[in-house]
Amino acid sequence: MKEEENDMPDAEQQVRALFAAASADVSPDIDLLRGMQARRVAHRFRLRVTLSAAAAAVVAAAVVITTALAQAPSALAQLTSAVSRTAAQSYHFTATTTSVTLSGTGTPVTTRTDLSGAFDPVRRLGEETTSTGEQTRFIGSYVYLNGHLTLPDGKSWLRAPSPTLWAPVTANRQLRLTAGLLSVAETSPQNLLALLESASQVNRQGSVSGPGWTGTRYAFSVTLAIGPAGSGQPTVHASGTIDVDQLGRVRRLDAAYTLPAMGSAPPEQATAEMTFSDFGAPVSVSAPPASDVLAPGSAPAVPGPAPSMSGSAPG
Amino acid sequence: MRRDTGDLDERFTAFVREHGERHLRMAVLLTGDWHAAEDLVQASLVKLYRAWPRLDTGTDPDAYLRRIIVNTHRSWWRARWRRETPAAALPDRAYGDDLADRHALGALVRQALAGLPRQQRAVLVLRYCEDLPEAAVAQLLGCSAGSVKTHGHRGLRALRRRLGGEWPRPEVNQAPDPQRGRG
Repeated sequence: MKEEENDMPDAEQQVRALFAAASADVSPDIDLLRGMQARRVAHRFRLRVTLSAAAAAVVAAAVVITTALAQAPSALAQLTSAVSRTAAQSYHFTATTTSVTLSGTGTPVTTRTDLSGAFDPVRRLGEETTSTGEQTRFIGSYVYLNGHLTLPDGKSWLRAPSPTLWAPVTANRQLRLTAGLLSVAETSPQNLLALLESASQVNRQGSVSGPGWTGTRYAFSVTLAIGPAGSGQPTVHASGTIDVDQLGRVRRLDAAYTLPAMGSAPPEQATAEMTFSDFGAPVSVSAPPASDVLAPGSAPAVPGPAPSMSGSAPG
Repeated sequence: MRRDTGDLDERFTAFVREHGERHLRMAVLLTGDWHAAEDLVQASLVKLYRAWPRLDTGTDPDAYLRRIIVNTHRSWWRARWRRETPAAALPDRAYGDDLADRHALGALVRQALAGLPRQQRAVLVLRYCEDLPEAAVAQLLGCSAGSVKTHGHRGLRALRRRLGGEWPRPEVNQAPDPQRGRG
């Protein structure tokens, strides 16, 4: 032991040399900037889907938790009906999500994302655009991204498969979707409906109105486990409201909640608000020109979407 | 709202080009392999990018990124997100001066480091890769300077034991140090 301690200054020099040798063979394939861009895109989508997924999930969880309330059955029936009606037709939407990271590494970082777009769930078409001009188009089982990534010369769109986009999902699955090319469409009314199928009650709060409509506001407050029951996973605490108009369609949804740290993502305080409008109006979405599209894994030519999925969707 | 103006991107990109590789070298010693190091640095750069507009002139982005990397690695470790799979025993290996042997030595050292307790590994990397004084390491890791000294001492001994006959190697002293004098 004494000998080792006496050798320590030499050992420090040796370990410096060893560390230099152990970190010298950097792979030329590593491109930090390119990989970082991809992560930024993934984060934005992860953030949005996490925010919107939590907003959707709380609807289901709220009704589960408030089962004992006397007024709840009629409130649930109305809300279920509203979501069902909304899911059966096209709609336009706006969404704003904000989050504040609660990382201990420095100044809290506030991120705000403004989105607007339209979806036709029956025809499996959709489009959304951020306030900074990034655009995403959904056509069948493909998603097209513009403005999110730096692409090779001559390419302005990236196409990626999105096989789960239109499938009904459960609350737990929604909350585990923390990465990938996902969208606010995950909070679409048809997904809300899927969530409500396992629900039982919500609280009616009172009358509400918006531009050209009147209706009823429903409130929820919930604590929801992210992982499977009994897995010891962290929970999301959330509260918010849903407005349903006189024709029984979801008009607005808001939620505020705290997301725990998940993997490398720090905990976040978040809010989300969505408005739905123009029910039944035509939604027109077309695939970008094939020559502008980069489709990884489909070399050498860049195919467009399947013909049956492309083109405009009449209302 | 969007903060990535052209000027911001330009300055951030220049920073990454100048300093990124040095942090990558630190990360590979923390994680044990290049893929995990790349993941760690990229994830940390995303966090730095988000904070970049709010860094005041008194904040050294290089030190800030180092802190993010250390904290992110700690959170990944806590989440049991670890790709390194330390071997119970390191293979016997003879070394020469050619590139392949240097790579083999590098892999062996990374493997030996990965087998150390996380805190010992972090102290060694910050002390002898980043050349930080004990007080700075203590602040980064949220522990006392005495604890840094203890972890460093134990870490060195453990690393020495794990490397066995490969430590110290005279030829290792002659290895070029890519980190000195950079960024």
